[in-house]
Amino acid sequence: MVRLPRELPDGAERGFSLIEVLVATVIATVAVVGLAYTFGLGRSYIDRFETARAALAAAEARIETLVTSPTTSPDLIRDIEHSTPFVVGGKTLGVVRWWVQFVNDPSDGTYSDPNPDDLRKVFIEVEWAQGGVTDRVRLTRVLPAS
Amino acid sequence: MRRLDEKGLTLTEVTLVGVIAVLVVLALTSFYFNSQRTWIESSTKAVAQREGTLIAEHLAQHVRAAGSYGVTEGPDSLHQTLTLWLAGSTEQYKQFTWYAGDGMVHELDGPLLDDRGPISSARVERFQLTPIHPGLLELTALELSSVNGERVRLSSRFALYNR
Repeated sequence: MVRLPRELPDGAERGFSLIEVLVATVIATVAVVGLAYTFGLGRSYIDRFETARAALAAAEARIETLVTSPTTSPDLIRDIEHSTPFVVGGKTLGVVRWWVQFVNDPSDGTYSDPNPDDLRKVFIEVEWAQGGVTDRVRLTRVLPAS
Repeated sequence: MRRLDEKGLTLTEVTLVGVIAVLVVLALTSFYFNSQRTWIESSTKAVAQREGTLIAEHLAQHVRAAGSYGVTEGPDSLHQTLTLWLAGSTEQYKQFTWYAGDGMVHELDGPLLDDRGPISSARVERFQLTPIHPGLLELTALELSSVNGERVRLSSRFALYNR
């Protein structure tokens, strides 16, 4: 049977020094705070995506409205910016903007035809600010000119 | 006076270590449960968001295929029923209505309105529609609740492309 010495040899110390304990505590704290931050960040992304989904739905709603609007509608006046508030659950979060350009249809083979306004191209942008970050959703749809 | 060859810990040391250990365990436990709660809330809310988008896309697909539509009140003040007809047909093509039994929006098919089941697995707290004109329908409020009770809202518009 081996018996352990009752006293440590000279120069050999057991336990941790204060510095070691402090360093370990700081590292552990940074790790835990970092982990907690990632959970908060994940949560903020979920909230941000919720608004982004609502924004995409608002952009699609605007496209559907324009598709069914008569070509003489003020909402389809070309080359000017139109806008309406972006509202979710009764709260205004941003703005829905759209503008219309006429484009030539290259498939008709008449690039230099006298009436190049073959199609109407609608650009829609929903912009909102959340948590100090500005986000945008953009959609484009080509509609018949008449 | 302490002897140099004394071993073990004093009562004060044991108490101090015990208190520190309890504080550390409490902090870790609190952190763990908070993190778990945040994780579950976020996950279930993300699922509810996806379900909302799926419902809106499903409705859009069928409204676009329809020739006409009708919106009727009920079964309660927060929910309405959408009926679709194909162009030139007098028989119902689809109906979307909320069932109080499971709290979900069901799809009913054909002239006999066979129940094809819920169109999503999320509970729908609000399903309200507004007719804009015969060629355009507004989904005014689609509100879903996640498993944890958090609410997700969505609204959109759908055009009837086959009038």
